[in-house]
Amino acid sequence: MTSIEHLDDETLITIIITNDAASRGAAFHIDQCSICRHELEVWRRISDLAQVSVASVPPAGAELDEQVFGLLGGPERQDAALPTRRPVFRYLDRRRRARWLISVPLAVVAIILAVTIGSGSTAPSDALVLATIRNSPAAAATLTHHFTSETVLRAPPGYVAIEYHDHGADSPHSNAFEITSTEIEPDGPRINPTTIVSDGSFVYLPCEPGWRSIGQKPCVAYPAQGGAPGSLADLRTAHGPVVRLGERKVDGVETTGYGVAVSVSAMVDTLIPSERSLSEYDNATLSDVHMKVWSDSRGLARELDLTWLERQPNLPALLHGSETEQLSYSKAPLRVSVPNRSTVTFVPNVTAAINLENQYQNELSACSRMHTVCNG
Amino acid sequence: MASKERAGGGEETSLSEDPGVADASLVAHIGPGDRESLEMLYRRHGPSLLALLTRILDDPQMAEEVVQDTFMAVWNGARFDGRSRVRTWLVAIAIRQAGSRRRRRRFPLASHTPDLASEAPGPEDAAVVRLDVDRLVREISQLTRFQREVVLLAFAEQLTHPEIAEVLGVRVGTVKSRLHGAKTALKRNWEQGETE
Repeated sequence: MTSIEHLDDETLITIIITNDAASRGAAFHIDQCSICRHELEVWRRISDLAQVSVASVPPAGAELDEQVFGLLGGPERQDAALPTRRPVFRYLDRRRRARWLISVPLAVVAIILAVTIGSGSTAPSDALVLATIRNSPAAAATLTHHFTSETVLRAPPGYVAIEYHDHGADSPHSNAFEITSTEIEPDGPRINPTTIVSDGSFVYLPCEPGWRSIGQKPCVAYPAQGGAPGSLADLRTAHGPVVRLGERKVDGVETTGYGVAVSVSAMVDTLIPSERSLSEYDNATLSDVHMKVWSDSRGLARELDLTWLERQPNLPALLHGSETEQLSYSKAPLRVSVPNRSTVTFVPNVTAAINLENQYQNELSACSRMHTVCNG
Repeated sequence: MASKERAGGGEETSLSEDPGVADASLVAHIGPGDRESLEMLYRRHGPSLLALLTRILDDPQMAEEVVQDTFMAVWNGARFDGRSRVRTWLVAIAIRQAGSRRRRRRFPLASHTPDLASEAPGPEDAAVVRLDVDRLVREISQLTRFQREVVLLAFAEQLTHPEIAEVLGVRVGTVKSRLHGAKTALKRNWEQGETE
């Protein structure tokens, strides 16, 4: 194939769908041909349009189910487990956990509404609600913030939905945090929970004895410049429109709900460059996050419900992310246990930590291919 | 979300509870009249089929009707010959049912701008859609229906050109032509947007 014979639309579309230029024998051509690269980007943009367009259709109500089964005279609907999809949707690896160091601050924000919530007085204006939300990080700075969250990434047919169960705490005052995450793939291998801690100075990834196989100490840490998972700072990027959700009890506490959005691009802009490069590394594209915030009479968030759309670079499918998070607060200082420094390799930033992780994973893969046991 | 353990009892009982059961097995059981298999098939494909049809037809109400028609056709014995995936077969039935509905209505499809807020379960759920997606949806809805059809089948359903041709009952060349037309139209819109 010469550079004059450009790739046709069908080939370009197939490359996008399969995410594989090499097997189409087109990787070199695309690399050399700016016209084909441009056309590929055009089709990629159209692919995004198509997927977002379909993914954004609101789900049908129960009425449609009833109509379908009513027409058939079939049995009354029963709640059933969500169907699992094949092939297995395994795009997440240990890197994913590291990426959540960016995502988690977004997810575990709390909103302090210093307004007359539930007092029966005139409802606050949108501007006041937003201003309060944006200024709220300072209001909780002396409280330890505890959270549990359930996150689900759903994909179109052909893939398996993945769940994350996280729990942890952080202290905005000291910047210390501890977060334990469990990844659940239906019918997938059991993945043990991982815990990441920070004393406010360094973030310590889970220790792994196998790291010795690449000449490293079993624990890795990097400077905690980006803030803790429980940081409320990201709420500074919240924006309208503000939606009033009414009142309801969360864990026995009366709350008032507001719907707002958090701008991902603005949030990424607030990250330090080393962590911003992490988002570039994974190259995931996220929509703005829609948040429902349920706050108690003191203005402390008791529940956050988040939804977003996500596109991973190695997947042709668009993902639906959702997360429900329960929050509580205490005045007790957060104490975390960090590894002995003699067992820790300190690296300059999170990107360097990820590079080490990749090196380790490659080593494991090589060992696996050679059917040998790699010892530290 | 957890799947249930397969009980030691009859196969029919456990079939619909097992998320690993292949679509083709469900279709095979629907033939003799197994409603649970139909329900399982509907739960697997109904929602995403509805989303696809909503965008192709640009008409949520008609999309719901077509989904009903589609599963009614499956229940009433639409034949699956195993040459394609079940999903592709369902899409093909839906496209045919949509054509049939349009002919029965005898008026052109409304080409309205989707009111996402009014379609959403609640106003709070619409907000996230409005933020980033609204503009994208509008771009797709500005294509002709034939163009939308091929674009959505190619990228949302990820069908190959021959599969799209079979689903639509047209030649592969027609699929290519419509895709090219969609690309040209979208590029033109983007260029106009940049100059405005």
